[in-house]
Amino acid sequence: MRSRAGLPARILEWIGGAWSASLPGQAVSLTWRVAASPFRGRRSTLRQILDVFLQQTYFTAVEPAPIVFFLAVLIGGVTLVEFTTLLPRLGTSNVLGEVMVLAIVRELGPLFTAFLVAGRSGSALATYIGNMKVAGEVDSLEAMGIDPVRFLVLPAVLGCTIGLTCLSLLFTAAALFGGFFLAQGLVVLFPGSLGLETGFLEYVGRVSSALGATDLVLIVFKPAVFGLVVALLACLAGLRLEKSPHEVPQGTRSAVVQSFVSIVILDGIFATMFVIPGLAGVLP
Amino acid sequence: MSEVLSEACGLRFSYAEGLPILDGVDLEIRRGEVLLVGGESGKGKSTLLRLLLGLEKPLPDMTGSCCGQVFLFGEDCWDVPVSRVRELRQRTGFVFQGNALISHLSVAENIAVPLHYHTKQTDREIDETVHRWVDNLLLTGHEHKRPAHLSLGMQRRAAMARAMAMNPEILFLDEPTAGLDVKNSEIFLSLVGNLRALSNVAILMVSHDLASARFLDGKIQLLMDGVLREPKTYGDISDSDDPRERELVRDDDDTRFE
Repeated sequence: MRSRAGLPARILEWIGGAWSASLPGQAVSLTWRVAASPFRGRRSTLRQILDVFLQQTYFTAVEPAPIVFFLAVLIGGVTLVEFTTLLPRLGTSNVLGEVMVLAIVRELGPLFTAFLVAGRSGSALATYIGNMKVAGEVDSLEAMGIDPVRFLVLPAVLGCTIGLTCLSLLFTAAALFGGFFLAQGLVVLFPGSLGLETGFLEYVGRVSSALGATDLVLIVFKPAVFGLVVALLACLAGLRLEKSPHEVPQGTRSAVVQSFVSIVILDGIFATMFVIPGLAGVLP
Repeated sequence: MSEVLSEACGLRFSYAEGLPILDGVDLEIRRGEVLLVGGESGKGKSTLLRLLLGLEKPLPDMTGSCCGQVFLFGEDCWDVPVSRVRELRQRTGFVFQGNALISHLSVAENIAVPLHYHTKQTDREIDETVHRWVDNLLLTGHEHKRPAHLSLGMQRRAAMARAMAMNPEILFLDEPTAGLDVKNSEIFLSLVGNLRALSNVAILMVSHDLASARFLDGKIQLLMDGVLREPKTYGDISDSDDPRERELVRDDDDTRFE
């Protein structure tokens, strides 16, 4: 019969085991390993890490840039047209800059690019690492004494984080300013139906004056957090696979769904922390 | 007596809720030795190799007790930090059954991976080392190809070149002749024999192909019923009183390598 004296220790051990086996537990563990990995291993390996990092950044930020630019202009233009139609009816034309900053800078820019990167880079990354895991390549790195987190995950996470941030900045700029010219074009096509009578310089001035310190932090911080989460979940989905190739698409699907859910939850947290408290002073 | 490089003591292992596939394995391999672990398929030979390198770790049993010990260069693999185990692995080479070459890198880049990662060699020195191993393993002209564009035999030799690049003290080979025809098996084993003669590397090989041990002049230990039997020669096994042992030799084409 087992001793009762060991029961609390056994319960703690069970809780620890359950936490380690759970997705949040593994995500936290991987985050810690990624954070610690730059300080482990030889500095000369940073060149190899830089190669993978540059590839990931290129894949995340440069390759989709044209389509992101195109979509951002469309979304920015449509958003601007809708607000310039709606706000005068509400008697609040003077808050055009504020609502554009709210819609594009705080929400649409980071969210849209995060969804795009989760679907594109996140799925590719999960498939890439999953295939390596299934083919035994991750084990072969371990057998050579190479930390797979430092070799594979760290550069992918950095590349995805920085890439998503750059892509979000591109989206924001294109939507705010490219969207203005699209909206102007729509005004020409449908005169009288829209309320956009603001010149470009005045519009830029209104948007600039609406940008607060919080926005300048969020414009970088929010997509960076989204990029970090997308990359970590994608790498984790790949590393959690065992040895069967049929697990790879399942892992990829899980990574994308988990990323989407995490992005929405994080967006809610950001809104609670930064956006909603600031709205009271902005909108009537 | 020469130094023990890799050792397992009372090793027990089972997958999930299944019966133990290793049930108290004791094994040691010393510097310069060649040991082949033979046995039927699916009886834990490859798992044993992975355990010896710390790539697998048995879960504690219901009583929470330990499932044996594994020592690499005298250090307990499961009692030292992972970073230390990785340092120890730099002194070993491992050729996986599926080769496990990094698929998006060329043969030369694959061989260079551990050199870039673990040594202070310059790019030029790394290139020289890579080309030396490319030549040694008869891969000249194929060094810029990716693994998918090579035959299985070439992939196996590329994996061998990568494993040897760091001048290991012990080489782990997992079914090195599996999937190869007689000619390619012979080429591969003769290359292993040559490298062993040059570097005195110890070789621990798991294979159902017991004739490989005869080719490399090594001893054989059979993994049966979860335990390792006493070391024997190929001739001892073919003349054994145990029909199961003789069956393993009969499965082999013993006219090979003669």
